[in-house]
Amino acid sequence: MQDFLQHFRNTHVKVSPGFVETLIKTQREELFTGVMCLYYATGEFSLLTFLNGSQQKLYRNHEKGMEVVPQQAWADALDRPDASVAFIKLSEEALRFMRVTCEALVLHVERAIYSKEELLDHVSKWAVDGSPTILHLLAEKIDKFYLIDGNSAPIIEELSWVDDEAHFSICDASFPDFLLLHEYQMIRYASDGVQGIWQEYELRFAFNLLMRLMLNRFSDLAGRTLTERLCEQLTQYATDGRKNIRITINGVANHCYFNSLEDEVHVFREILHQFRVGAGSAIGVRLADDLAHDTLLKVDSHRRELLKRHIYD
Amino acid sequence: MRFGWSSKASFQRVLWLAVIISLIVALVYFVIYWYQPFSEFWNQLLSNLFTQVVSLVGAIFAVMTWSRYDESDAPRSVWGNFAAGLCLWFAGEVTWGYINTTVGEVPIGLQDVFWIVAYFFFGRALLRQYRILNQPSTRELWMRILLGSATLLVLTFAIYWVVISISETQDVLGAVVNSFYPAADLTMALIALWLARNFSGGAFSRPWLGLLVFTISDFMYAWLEASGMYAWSLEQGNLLTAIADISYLIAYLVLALGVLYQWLFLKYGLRSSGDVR
Repeated sequence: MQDFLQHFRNTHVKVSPGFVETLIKTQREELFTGVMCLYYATGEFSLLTFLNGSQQKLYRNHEKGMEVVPQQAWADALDRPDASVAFIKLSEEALRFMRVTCEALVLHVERAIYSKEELLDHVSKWAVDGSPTILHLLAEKIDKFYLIDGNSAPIIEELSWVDDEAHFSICDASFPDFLLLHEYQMIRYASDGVQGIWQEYELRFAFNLLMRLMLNRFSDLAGRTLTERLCEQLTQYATDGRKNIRITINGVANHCYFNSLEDEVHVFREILHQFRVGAGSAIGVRLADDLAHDTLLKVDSHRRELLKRHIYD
Repeated sequence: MRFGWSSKASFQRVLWLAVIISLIVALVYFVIYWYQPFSEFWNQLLSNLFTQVVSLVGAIFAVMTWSRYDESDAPRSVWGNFAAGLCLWFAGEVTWGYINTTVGEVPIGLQDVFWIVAYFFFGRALLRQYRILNQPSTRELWMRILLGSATLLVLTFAIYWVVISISETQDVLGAVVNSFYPAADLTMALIALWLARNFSGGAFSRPWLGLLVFTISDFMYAWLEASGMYAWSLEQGNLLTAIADISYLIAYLVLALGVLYQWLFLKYGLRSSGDVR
């Protein structure tokens, strides 16, 4: 995903591998969250992501896109002379967004110039066509990316670049209605929903929906006060595990970056287990299990399959 | 209570204190009832007073539990009806106690109005809890109401028929009322058992278990009363009346403890371990 590269401004030019190592160490000490981009004279580049100073993933570009470099190969991959280095600070959600764009398999690319109305029409179709899309919109002083899962997710994530700073937000399929300009250059990267990165993306929304329904039902049974305390317990549990997830009676605010689908599934399972324990102390474990089961049946079939496949297997 | 205790410690200490007080109350009641250490008037007055105070405490706990819920909370309507029922039971106990102390034998009267109306409120509480648990359709709900009402009518009639067969009483109203009580207790016990089973293992099962224990004890008492065996046993100084009366008080204590548990859970439950109250 080379579309982001224009926003990286080189702060260090033609540095040695030793200096690269020093820069990495500095980011660790500063608890940096964002991306370190290393350009080489051959036109190749690598992206090293950081979360609170901890290195997460190393991506390397190739002809067909980006590849994830295994951790054991990082030392060799970074041991190259004359790298130019740039940094972009990102929020945890923006980093998560970038991970999708880097790891998503691109099946084909469409380019077009659309008016707002045409864009609205196309986005409405892409939102339900069953295949995920990474959408890039360009216009004067506008540079926005969108992740559309293709399975009617109520939320579309957006990453806007303003003065080389990334701003994360959420919207829905009607977002073209709120765009300011009349015409946009559009690049659409059609992807494959079976891929782990998209499963992880969709699972996040499915889990949010499940938790909201479960908490609503628990509130029916136990009242608002106990539900709020249960939410505090679950949030505390996530925070203690250093996961940026906040659970309230209105749902889940998931700001957390996960390194893999397996990490995400593990955390979601633990939260559900804690819910079972907490709710079970009030209404009994049997009723808590029935509540979870009945709630799962209320979720639409696509998300229910997703939850069953990854969380309830 | 603000002693710098954690929520968990406060919960456990208050509950244990309540259990200990209940055991002491039951023991003192047994001593007064069995050994009759004071004059007949004082023994009777104290015995009645114990039952009234315990039923009042249960009613107060139920009102406290009701007030713990927000107005928008579904369980609030359960507890509003439950508290109303317990308050009416207390009114019935006070009325019965007053007449028993001043007159002696208590005929069918005002206390029965309180007790019978109380069953209506308990029925509403159970129905509301059922609606929250099962979320039935309107048709299903009415089917359950009809089933419950039919069960109550059939049981009342069956017990009345047995009572009329056993005793030769001319007091039809008394027989009907005294047949209603065990029938209503049995119906409530079945529903309370179902609710306790649904909430099994959780804090919310406690009040329904308490109600189940009380309705079983009350059923025994009402059956003895309706069949005339209570009066006979009392005349004979029989152990049966003692068991019926003492278990009646203990059942009220168990019910009050069950309701207290619910209130304690609403106040202290699901708080973090470091939360100091």
